[in-house]
Amino acid sequence: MIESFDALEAELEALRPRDVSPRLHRGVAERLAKRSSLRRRSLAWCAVVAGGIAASVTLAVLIWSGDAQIIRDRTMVADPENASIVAGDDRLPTLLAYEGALADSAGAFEALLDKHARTYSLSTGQDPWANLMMPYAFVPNSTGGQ
Amino acid sequence: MLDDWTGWLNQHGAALVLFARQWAPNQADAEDIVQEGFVRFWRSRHRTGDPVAYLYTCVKHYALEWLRSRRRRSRREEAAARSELLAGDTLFTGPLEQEERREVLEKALRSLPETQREVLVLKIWGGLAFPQIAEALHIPVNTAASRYRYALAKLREQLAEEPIP
Repeated sequence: MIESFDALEAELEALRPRDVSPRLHRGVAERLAKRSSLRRRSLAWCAVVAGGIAASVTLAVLIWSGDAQIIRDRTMVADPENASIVAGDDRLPTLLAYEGALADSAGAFEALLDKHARTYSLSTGQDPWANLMMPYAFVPNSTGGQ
Repeated sequence: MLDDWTGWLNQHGAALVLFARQWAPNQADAEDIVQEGFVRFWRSRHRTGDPVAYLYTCVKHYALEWLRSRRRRSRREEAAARSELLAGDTLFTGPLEQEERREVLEKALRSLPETQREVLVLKIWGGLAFPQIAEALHIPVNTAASRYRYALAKLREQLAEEPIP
């Protein structure tokens, strides 16, 4: 019984399955090559996208830091830490100059106003804001129009 | 070896195509099934503990997928496929003097139930051990072994009825 069992197995093992055709090898090679090419392409796209994002972030940081510097420069006059630059100087029509004059007396304040009116009168053609750094992001229209 | 797909295909290709013939009516369709199953295996071969068993699993999964899509196409094609499967081209090659015996064996093999035939193919021509067969077919090891025994018993029974050439 066991002998015949083994004999049948041996007979079956002696049968050789048909060889695969070259078409199968070609097909597998093409499919795997196509896949690796797709993978390379997607990796290249990932690199491009990542580079683009990195460039955008860098540009945004540079622009932001540049804007912050401009804002800092333009607000320098209004910055209390830099107030010493103009404190006590009544030649310019600054808030500090007026506050100082008002603290002295009402007469001193009026005198300062008169002084500035004379100094920066339209007849002299001198712009009273010309020597000031503007505390605004946009410069006011000097002609007064909108 | 694991990174050389040609080595894998050379070693297992013929048995894989024979395995796929259970669901494919001819050699060309079986090779198409093996091609897709093999590519799927190759992409995910590192995820498994037993790559050989997994290779057969991939081929069987794709074969069943292929069969479903083919059945959807038309019932007439299915009937044609079944008749092709029964009277299709040969599964094995061998010396001409053993041609008659080979035909008898093929006929007996084709008459086996699919569940028994696939175990027999994996054991005899795939060279898989029962635990590997169990893993490949998602069945218990004892079931794999018993199906193998039943298959051989049925073959012996059928061959006993055939006149010895």
